[in-house]
Amino acid sequence: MITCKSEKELNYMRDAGRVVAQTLAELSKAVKAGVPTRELDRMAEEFIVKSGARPAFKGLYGFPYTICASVNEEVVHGFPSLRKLENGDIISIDIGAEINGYYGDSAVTIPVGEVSSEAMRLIKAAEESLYKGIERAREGARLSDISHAIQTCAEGYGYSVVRDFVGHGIGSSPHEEPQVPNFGRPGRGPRLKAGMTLAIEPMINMGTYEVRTLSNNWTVVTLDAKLSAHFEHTIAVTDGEPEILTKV
Amino acid sequence: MAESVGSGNSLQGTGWRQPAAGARNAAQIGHLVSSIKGRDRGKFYLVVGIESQSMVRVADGEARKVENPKRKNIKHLNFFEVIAGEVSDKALSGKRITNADIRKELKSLAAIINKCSS
Repeated sequence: MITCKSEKELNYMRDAGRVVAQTLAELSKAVKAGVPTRELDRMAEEFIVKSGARPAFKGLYGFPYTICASVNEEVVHGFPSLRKLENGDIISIDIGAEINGYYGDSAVTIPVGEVSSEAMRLIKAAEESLYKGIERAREGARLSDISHAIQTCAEGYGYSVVRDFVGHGIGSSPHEEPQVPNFGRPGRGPRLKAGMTLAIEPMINMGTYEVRTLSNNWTVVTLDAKLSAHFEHTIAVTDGEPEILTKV
Repeated sequence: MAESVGSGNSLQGTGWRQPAAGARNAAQIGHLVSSIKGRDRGKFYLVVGIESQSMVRVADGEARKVENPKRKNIKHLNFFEVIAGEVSDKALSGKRITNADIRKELKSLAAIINKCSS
């Protein structure tokens, strides 16, 4: 069942979203060549706990870390490791936090040092497609209007949209109904109502949209080992403009 | 954190294409499967590799060896709730799975399945 949140619930989600956004802003400053991704995980956990929240991903379905750190061809759910970031890498950081039983979830892809112009274009396309999707999250629209807007934008750049992983509803649980695919025909799925909260997250690949999961059963990489970018915001559908909850 | 397609049932009944329920999440190395589509319909295999969320590699150790496994869409397979322990353990500990392992496991597992269904 898709739940519509009350103003009180939305306030809790705003709090959680603010912590997520601030953590991402902190981490963006820390991303540079030579930093191991495990260090980013440690910083994130420290910051989230200091802000009075709880890292939402740690322990979620058995995921062992606070952040998902997916480097280059890793699409999502990358494990923070001792691998040091190198100049020219791109890293997608996905973070979730919980306050008062409500969740916020957001992700960004950050270039490390000087990256190639193709990688920058991919990042730009992924971010732009996220905002195109968010624009469509209005009361009365259908769920797949969001999906279609994302797909059209990303494919317009010549990139592909991951099919096997999708966005989701969010609220008192980090994954709620409905699933929000990043592809599909417009005008399908449930109608959006004010109070619905969604995590919209396009995962855009430079090559094929096909992905595979590594033997740790978590990390998803592109099948052709080409780069992938990931952006995400938690939003609330209102009777006017959609509200982005994970923005500073 | 991105959600895996098929892990929820939110879009069921709204006209969205959904993968075979359960199978996607259940697929793992050593899983006993039988083909339900294709010229090999009815044959038993073990899953020896997971290529993507929708494709797995299967082998029976005879016509389809570990070196040359068959790619199968998970929609075209019937997943039994049986996992070949030896194969799965070997895969998890990083050892090589041999054709003889698969033949041996398939023989014993398929016999159990046939006995249950008859």
